Amino acid sequence: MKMHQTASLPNKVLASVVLAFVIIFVIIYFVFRQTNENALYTVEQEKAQMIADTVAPLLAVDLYLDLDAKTDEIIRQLSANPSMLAVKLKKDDHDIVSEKKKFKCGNGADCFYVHQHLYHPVTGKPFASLELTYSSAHIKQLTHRYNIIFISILGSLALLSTLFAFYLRNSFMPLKAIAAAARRFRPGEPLALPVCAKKDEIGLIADALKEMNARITDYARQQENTAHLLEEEVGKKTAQLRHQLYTDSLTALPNRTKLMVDIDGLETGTLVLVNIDDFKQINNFYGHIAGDHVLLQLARVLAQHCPEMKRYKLSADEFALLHDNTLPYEEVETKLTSLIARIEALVIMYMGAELTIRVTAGITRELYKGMEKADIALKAARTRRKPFFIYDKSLDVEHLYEQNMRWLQRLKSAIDEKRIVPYYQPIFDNESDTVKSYECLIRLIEKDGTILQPKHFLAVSKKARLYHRLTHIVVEESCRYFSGRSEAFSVNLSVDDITDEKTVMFIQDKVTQYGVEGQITFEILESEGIENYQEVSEFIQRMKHLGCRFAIDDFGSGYSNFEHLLHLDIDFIKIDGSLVQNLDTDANSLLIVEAIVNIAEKRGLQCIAEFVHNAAVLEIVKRLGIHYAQGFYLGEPKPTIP
Amino acid sequence: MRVVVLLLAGWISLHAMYYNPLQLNAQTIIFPKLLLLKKAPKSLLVDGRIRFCILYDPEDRTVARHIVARLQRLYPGTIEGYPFEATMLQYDDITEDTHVSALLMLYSEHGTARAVAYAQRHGIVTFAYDVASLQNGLLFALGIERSTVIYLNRNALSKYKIQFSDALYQIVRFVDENASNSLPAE
Repeated sequence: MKMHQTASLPNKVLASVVLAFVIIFVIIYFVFRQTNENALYTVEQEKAQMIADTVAPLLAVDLYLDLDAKTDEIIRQLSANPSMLAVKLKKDDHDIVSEKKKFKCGNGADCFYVHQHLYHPVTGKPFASLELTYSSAHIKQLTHRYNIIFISILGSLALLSTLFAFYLRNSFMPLKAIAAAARRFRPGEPLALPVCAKKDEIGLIADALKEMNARITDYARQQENTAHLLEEEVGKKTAQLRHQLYTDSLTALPNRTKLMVDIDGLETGTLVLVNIDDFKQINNFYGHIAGDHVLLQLARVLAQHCPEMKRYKLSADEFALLHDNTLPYEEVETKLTSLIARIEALVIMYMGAELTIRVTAGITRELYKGMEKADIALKAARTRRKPFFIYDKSLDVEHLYEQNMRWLQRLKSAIDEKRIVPYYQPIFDNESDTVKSYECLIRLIEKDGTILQPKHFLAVSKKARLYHRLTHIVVEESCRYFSGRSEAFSVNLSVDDITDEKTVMFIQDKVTQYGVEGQITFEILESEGIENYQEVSEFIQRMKHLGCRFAIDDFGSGYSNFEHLLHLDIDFIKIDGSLVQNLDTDANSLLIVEAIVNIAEKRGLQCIAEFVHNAAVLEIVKRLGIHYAQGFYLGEPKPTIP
Repeated sequence: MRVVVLLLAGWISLHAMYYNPLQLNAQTIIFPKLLLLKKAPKSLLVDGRIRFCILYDPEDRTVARHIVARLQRLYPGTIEGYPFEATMLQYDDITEDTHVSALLMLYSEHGTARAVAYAQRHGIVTFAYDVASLQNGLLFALGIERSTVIYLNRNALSKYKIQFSDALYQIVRFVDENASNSLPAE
């Protein structure tokens, strides 16, 4: 256990007092000692000097009057002084008249000398000298005596300090007890303060702590009650929120979040995603309330038909079924076949209307990445136009995703580094066998110089919303290239381009900027299907007003209505390559192409055959009366034109 | 020296007056020096010299001569740098025209008082052969006791209006001329 280290206040106070005492004492001692020694020396010197000054005139007169006896008497009296170690009287500084010695200075005796001239009483000139050797030993004795006194005082102070320390320790003892009690204090428990009868400051602190403890206890009790109430409320709200978090409000079924949690808790299982086909149409046509009614009915059917599986409501038109075992393939097939049949047989009555629904299901028998796999299976079912599809590793969707990501990086890099460029393929006039125009085809130049066709990256560009950016590049580069030239050229546009306002404005700006309105033909891709004919028609009218021409590309390959297509104000029909390339081998293709040519003639449109890859096909194209031909047999796409 | 002593002894025996040779010797040594302890010693000069005069009665002529001779030997012409002259004069010969620096007054039955009065009037330092003579108003006397003692007549000092070196006052023994018991026993 870690010891609780504290600096004791009594010890601090005592240490401070003692330290202050010691410092003051030492300073006083040394100052006093130094001053005293000096003073004592000075006094002794003055005393000796005074003696010398006193006797000097007498000695001078006695010497002058040759009163040797008196002189000796004075010398004797001087020697009688206990501090006088020696007295020497010299006349004319060399004749020793009288001398008395008791000790020699420097032989262990501390002393000093006083030298006094004796002045001639008549002439006033020095004629003799008096030399006193004076002892200072008693100064040391005095100093020693002072030292003893100081040490005695110091001892007394030490004794007083010890007593003071005991007094302080006893005085502060209750404070320590209070601190220990406060340290042991636990909220909710009474503060066990020691009994303190003192009515001094410590007693006041103890009383104050007791009062504070009582108030804290009351407050804590109130807080505890409040916290308890809050906990209950929070618990209710949490349960409510959890319910909302995990439950679909319409069907009261668990939602997607709950499904994810449940999947995480399972190692094996079977997951089915059931999606209502064209549910949006029900909402749009009959309203959302009808849609909700349909969802409730479907939920009921699922509950009746699959009671052994957990049911979930995911998005607006999607349900999920989860079984915690990996069901056999055949059982899944049987179950889903019967379920879908049951649903398709279901007639939902709403406001007098009979509503029927179709569903598509995706199933996975692996719960690792179960949602993704079931979703892939669902999409696979849609693509294959099947009511359900069971996920299979052969779909290799993960590889596809990875490939898409890699292509996306390559595409972005190519755009940034201006490696997206147009290539120009000639279109020949079949009558004159001369180049009538050039089609601008997009190409991606790899860093190693490899030239990639759009089939590699167009799909990725659409998913990454880079398709319009590619259109901008091809339009601008082509217009720039043919600006100031005489040749005509054509650029492919998708319906998405035409319905994108920004792209339309860009195209219009570039065509007028480079002045190629009379040279350019826009080839609208029909293979993707044209739905919004109104917008396309408006675009055509706007650009034709500038002088541009239009062609329907890949005519005969899509699903669009021929009649709608032909009502567009176009100039050319470009027959789909899949039909043209088989003209020499497939009678059906020949029949379709003949029909297209007939229609074009009746509508006053000119035809272009693409994918002309050999002489036989070219011969048939010419024989069918198709005006223009294009293909590798006639000329490959090149980065430049002659 | 022996002759002088014999003559002196003979003379003393005739007149029943006895002068202690030892004391006389001491006085001849000390008195002139003592004289110079007067403040402003130049004021002692008479005709440019210190004239130390021995006053005597006729019967003490020999002693006076002896003293003069001894003084002249001790201080031949100068004393402490001052010109010095030792002379002798009978008590009866002293007049107001007598000019001396100091007087050593030998015994005299009748002349002492007049000489003292003269000296006090003129501020002339007076020396007595014996201490008892101080009662007559003389200033200094010399006693040979365990050691040499200089006596100074305290009362007379103010009458002479003479001041001496301060140190002198510390080594002399003061006597009061009116207090006979203050004098040491002979």
